[in-house]
Amino acid sequence: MNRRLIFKSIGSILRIEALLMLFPLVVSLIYGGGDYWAFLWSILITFAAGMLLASIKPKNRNFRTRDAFVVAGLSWFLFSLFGALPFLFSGCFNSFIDCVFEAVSGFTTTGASVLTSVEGLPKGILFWRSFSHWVGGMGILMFMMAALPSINASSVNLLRAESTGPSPDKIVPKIRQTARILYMIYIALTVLLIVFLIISGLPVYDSLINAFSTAGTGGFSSLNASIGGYNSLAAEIVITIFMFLFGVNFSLYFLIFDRKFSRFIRDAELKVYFGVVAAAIIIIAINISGLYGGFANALRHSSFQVSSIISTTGYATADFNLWPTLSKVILVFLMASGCCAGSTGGGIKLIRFIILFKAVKIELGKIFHPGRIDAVSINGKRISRDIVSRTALFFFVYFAFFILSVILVSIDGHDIVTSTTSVIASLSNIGPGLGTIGPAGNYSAFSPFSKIVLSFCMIAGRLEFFPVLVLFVPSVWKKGLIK
Amino acid sequence: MVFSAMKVIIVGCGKIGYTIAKALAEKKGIYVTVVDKNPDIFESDVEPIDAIFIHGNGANEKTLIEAGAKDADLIVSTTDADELNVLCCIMAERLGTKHSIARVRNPEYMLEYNELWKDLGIDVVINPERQTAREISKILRYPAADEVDTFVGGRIEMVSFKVSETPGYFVGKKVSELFDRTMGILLAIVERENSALIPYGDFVFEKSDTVRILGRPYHIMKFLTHIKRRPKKEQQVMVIGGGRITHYLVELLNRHMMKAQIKIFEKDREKCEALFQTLSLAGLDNNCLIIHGDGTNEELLIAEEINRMDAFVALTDKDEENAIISLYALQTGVKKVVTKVNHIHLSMISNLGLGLGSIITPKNITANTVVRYVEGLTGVIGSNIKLMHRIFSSKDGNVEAIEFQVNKKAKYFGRPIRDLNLKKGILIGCISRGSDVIIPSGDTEIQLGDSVIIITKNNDIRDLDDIIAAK
Repeated sequence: MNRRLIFKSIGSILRIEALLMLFPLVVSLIYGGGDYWAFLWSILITFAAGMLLASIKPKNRNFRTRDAFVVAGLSWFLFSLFGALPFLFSGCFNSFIDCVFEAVSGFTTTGASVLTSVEGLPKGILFWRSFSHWVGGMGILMFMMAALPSINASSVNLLRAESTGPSPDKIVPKIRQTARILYMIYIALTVLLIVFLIISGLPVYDSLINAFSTAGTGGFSSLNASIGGYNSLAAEIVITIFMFLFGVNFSLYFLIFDRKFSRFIRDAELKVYFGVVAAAIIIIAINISGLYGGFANALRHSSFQVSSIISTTGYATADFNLWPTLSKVILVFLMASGCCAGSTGGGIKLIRFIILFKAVKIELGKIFHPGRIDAVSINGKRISRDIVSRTALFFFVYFAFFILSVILVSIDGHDIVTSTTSVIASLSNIGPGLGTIGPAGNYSAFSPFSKIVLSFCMIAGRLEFFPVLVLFVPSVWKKGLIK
Repeated sequence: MVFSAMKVIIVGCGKIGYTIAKALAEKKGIYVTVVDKNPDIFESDVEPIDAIFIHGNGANEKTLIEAGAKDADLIVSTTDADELNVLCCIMAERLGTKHSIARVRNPEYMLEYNELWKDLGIDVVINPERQTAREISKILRYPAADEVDTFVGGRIEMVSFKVSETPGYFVGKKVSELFDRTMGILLAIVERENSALIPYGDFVFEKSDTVRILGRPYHIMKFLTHIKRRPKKEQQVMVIGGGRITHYLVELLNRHMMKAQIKIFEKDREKCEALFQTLSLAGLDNNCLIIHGDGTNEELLIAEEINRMDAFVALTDKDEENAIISLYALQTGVKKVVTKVNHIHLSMISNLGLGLGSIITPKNITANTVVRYVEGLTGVIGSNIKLMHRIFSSKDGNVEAIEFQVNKKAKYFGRPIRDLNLKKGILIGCISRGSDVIIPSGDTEIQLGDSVIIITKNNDIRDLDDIIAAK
């Protein structure tokens, strides 16, 4: 373990966080509300901690794989902890645990809230909630790689630790340029969304808040009734489309930029994503058409909800908790599946399903012709056995986390639907589930212990488990161990 | 920022490919894509390269296109197979890659002139063994303190030495008294008190000067012997290992008029025979003695009088063997010891503080050549030059030696140099044309295909046109 490098990197990340807190500070100064002190203190504390850690001089600046994973795991916990400070100082929350839960929910782009009402919150705090979605969406280590000049080749391990999907890789040969291009695409899409929202009639402040939440596929809104509260068809359509867009692998947007349209259109995961979304929208629309007096209205709600759930945003225009069982079951499965690898969304990711489907097909083939040689290939590229088995392991880890967390959360005594969907919604970074935590509800009823378990699930889900799991390897904490 | 990067494809990620890829990927503005047929090679956790890796055969059309051969600036093919490297480069060139470098090692493929390779679409052929031999030859021929730069693939050298070491010949004399064109060398730069000057005919030498001369190795050696910087007597050289490097070393030492008697030890009988045959075919067997025997055998070394050697070169395949016999040679009193190290990290050897003399690493030598070529490509702005080396620049950076290759017709072709209105502070140093090296006079003309070395002071030369003063 290269502890010096790990702590130095975390220091750099905290310094960046302090700088990012300047944005809500400015917002709070513009809109008043008296919460600027909360931000000033948070910035001071975070920056001081960051400077302290960043002053460490590592002997070796190369990230080994293990160092990168520990950095990813630890930095997300600490980033959330310091990100909770403004909430704590604002006094809007009941306990420190609630503040941390809200911050974790923000950075992991979950959007699960412990607040029963958000409309009375100061503007700065509301902004910070949504802005944390935006920051966490593309990744905080990715931001560091794009921003800091000291990034070397070994940082590719940081990218692998933080990015989502079975085999994340660079889109251009240089790691720093890759991070910058991804952020440029992200910023461009966000700006586009802000403009569209303003055009569709939302106030500027609300446009910003909702654009940040949508871009990070988070789901914190500025109204208690989420997007439904605006009652604006235009805004709903814009957000529906953009939620879908932010669920697409960002490296595909680079293909468009690079004029490789055919590779964009032929991408296997994108095709499946499109197909699943279209099928889910139609089935749910038919299923709920009775509730909303006609297919058109049902289509409006089902398309918004499907896009919101599969992209793991978690916005709502309707209380899908009241929908028929078929629709709810479909939505729960979309929660687990999530969208595309390399997007800002969470979940298991469709590409993993595709890989395993193909692996199963090959296994079937081997039953008929035992000596058969075959390999999984996607987009004409062979997927190595390592990746296939890692993908299968990922499913197991997801499942194991799910079971353990459901058991721990069920201590609270909520009904099965609430308990299970709260864990799925946390692991997949969605936010609302079913039952008490449906779109109309919130997480305030959970005990502090459950909130800690669910916060843990959110970070584990966002980092796809392994960077969090490595923190439990003893040699990370004790010197000289080999296990 | 994104699109202005120079795109380099490297085929083959062995020792040399890896070193080149790593060196280039660390440079700003260069995108490196590495192609190798072994997918495991990309998993290195210890020293990752900031590049994209593609699994495949570099001579496969699909793989090349995936690696971006259609708009790449350079392909460097460094696999073990010469033929594959040539094929890779030809294919990439046809697909649209602008420049190509192929690693070709078989001595039987070596051509005297590069024109044929160019017709095939290969700009540079690198031969790591030959380059290593060239480096060794440089170390053997010059005193350690001398700075030696090479141009035109080693055909021209520039050597620095202090006047104070042979004052009798220089001090108080004019340039025109000491140098003339028939010597085949050119006095290029004189450094005096931290500033560099371009000396003309009536320049008078002082004792504190450092002189740089330019020319073919052969002529430089002759000059240095003439001014008694080099002993006249034959040098005794002992070489352990009879591989390709040894072959090239014997060839180069002969060509460069280093009078030397070379004793070669090789423990593999067949290799001995093969070396003897290739050397005698090339007529190079007069000054060398090939001995079938183990160079790590102390008795044998003593019997062959290692203590009387002027130089000792360890070139076996085993790094540790080379290191140990080199230490032994140093201990017996050999002044110049050259050790080849290929697998072990150079930094590891130097950190050990063994006190070895000159350590050479073929992979680094080759990587440096490629990096230098790439730097040349990035520096090119004008259209009538193909590559450019800024080899030397003085401490204050105002005097530079630059190599150009003329690949397009220009208006000053066919006109003698004396008619050209050259800018102040420009000296046309050497012209390499075909197999000739010309020290230009007023009558010399610059022609298409020439490699021209220009010495320039206080000028920003980016193009051959820049040497002509504006009217």
